[in-house]
Amino acid sequence: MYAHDHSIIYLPPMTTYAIDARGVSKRYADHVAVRDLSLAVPTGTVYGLLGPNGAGKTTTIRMILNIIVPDAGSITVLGRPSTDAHLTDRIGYLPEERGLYRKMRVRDVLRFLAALKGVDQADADRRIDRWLDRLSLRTPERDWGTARIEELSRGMQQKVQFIGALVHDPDLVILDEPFSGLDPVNAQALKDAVMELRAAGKTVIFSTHIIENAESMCDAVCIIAHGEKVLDGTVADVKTEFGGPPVEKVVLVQPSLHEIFLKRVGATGVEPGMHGNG
Amino acid sequence: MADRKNESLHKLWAVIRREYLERVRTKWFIIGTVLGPLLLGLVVVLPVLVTRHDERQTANRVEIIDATGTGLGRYVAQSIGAADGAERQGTTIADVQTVAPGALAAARTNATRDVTERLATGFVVLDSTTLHGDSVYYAGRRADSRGELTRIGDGVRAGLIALELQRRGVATSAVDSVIAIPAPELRTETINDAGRSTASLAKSLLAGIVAFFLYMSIVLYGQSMLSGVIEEKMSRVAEIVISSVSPDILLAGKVIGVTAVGLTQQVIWVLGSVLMVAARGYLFPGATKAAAAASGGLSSGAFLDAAIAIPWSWIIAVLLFFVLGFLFYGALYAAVGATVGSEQDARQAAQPVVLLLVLTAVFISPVLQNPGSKLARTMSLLPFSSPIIMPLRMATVDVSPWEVAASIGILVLGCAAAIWLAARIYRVGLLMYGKRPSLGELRRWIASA
Repeated sequence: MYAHDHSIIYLPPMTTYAIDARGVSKRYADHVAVRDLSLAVPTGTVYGLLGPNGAGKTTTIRMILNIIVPDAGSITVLGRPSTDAHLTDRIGYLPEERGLYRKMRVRDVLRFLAALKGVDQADADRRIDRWLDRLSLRTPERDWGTARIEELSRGMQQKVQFIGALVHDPDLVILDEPFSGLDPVNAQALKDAVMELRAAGKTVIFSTHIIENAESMCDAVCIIAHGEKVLDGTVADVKTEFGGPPVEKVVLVQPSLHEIFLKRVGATGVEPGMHGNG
Repeated sequence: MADRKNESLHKLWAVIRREYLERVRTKWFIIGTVLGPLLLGLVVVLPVLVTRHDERQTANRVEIIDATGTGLGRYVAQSIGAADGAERQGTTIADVQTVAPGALAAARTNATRDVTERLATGFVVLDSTTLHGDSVYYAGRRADSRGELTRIGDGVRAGLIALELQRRGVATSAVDSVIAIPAPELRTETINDAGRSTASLAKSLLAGIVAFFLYMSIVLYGQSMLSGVIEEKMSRVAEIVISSVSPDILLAGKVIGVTAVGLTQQVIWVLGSVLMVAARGYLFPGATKAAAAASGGLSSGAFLDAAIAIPWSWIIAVLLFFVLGFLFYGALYAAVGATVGSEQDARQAAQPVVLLLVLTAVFISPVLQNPGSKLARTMSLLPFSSPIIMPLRMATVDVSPWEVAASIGILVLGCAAAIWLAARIYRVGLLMYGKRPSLGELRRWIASA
């Protein structure tokens, strides 16, 4: 009978965490890379891991991916311990240092990466074609899918790697410094893709040292420095807690250089103003 | 659980597939695969072609200057020249010139001119010292050919014997038929400490060539493995791959994939060689017999016979040893690749592995000379040398089955150890950039993984 009385029973919003790391530390021979780090990434959000170079972002990401094993602490990923071998098929990863087999053809590389994630070839081919179209790597004039990696420009190679991270339709996507080395057009295409993933209920974590990118995209952030957490929380909370009360400013703005660039160079698939909080 | 195992197998298969296809598609693989049997074929056929070429340019024509006044020259010519005097490949035409002792100097000058003008290949001077059995003089283009000199020496001796028979009153026709008795083909067997060896010179040489091919294959594929791992590491693809599969599976897939490529090439070589040997009659009709007759010692005919006599069981043993040898060295090369940061570093870091291979190669020749020795037996049991030395021994002597079994058993254990060690180094090394680890650090890597 109580169950019908909504006013009496208070149900807190069910928050599940795509990543729940507690007290994680990693020490190397001569220095501590990460010290007693705890962070929780709610499922279905875009989460920014911010910090200067050498803060421990990449080490943290590698521990989440079970590429390296933490010395202390525990990490739960998508509800399972991070050491669970089954997890890898549900995670997409774009490492900070980019590179692919230079002599291989684009489609073969992507098929290989898909096969490593357990995707069968027919599925893989369908998804690869969709992504190549989507990121303008296959146009009526030219199908870059048949080109060798070494024939591609740096930006194109990054896009191929980005496809490689997403080709198996992962639930959790981890992007390490995804914007470094991308021109504004491609950076915007990548931002769009991230927002789309979020809309599809996926969780996206990306690390960056460019804070504007984080501010325009993230639901929540964690700032780390010297291997330790400085602060974390939703962007709104962080601003309220650490930025003081809102101040009203009235300014007249000209379009930014960024906006002019996009307008004149003609980014495909970019809608005006498509860089807000979602 | 079964599902997970299945999943790992699928990923292992994906790694093997990539390694295999990407390597088989390279032009170096295709060139190497085609060139292998051609090279081997060349070793067989080249002597034939060279002999033919030689004979076409200058028919083997020897002038015999006889200053003895006894008719020795005629007998010598009969002995070394062709029975019917016809000009054919591999035969010698001998022209006798009887001169007075006083005219010898002029005859020599003429003969020398004939040789420089390529009218003759050489000339023999028979004089009184020859009659005493002391010496005979030969000058010509083939003064460095052991076969030619032996034939002339034998011919002069036969002439002297004929002369002696004639002096003792044997009928001329009987002397002529004695002189016409040909030198039989020499078949040899080696006897060493271990007893009688069935190996002919040709068979040993063939075994040596196969051993050398095995050595070259392991070195070349090892290098290819090394640069593959370095490429993966330096391009940071390794990081993506090991976020999807464990480093052990990546290592296993690479080693298996590269071994499969090597095996493919070996099988093509074997089949190619078998086909070439089978088709030799069509390729070089009549050539091999003539060459066999022409060259004194090792003939390509005997070489071919040895090649034909290879049992399939030996070929299968060679392939098995190759596969195991490659697993062993492939794992070691992969481990080396994981510790270095560049191709330059790699050359230095690979030295211990290369040393093991070179050490083995150095012993190919001593083992061939004495396949039953303690050294040969030891090296055919040690896992780093057995993949090359054991097939070599098996080709030249009868190796007892238990010895082969022991060798394979030890090699399998060696492979397991090498892969175990490599996996541990690989796991840590793949994500380490910067300077090369010291031995102490390496030990820590192995202990920590």
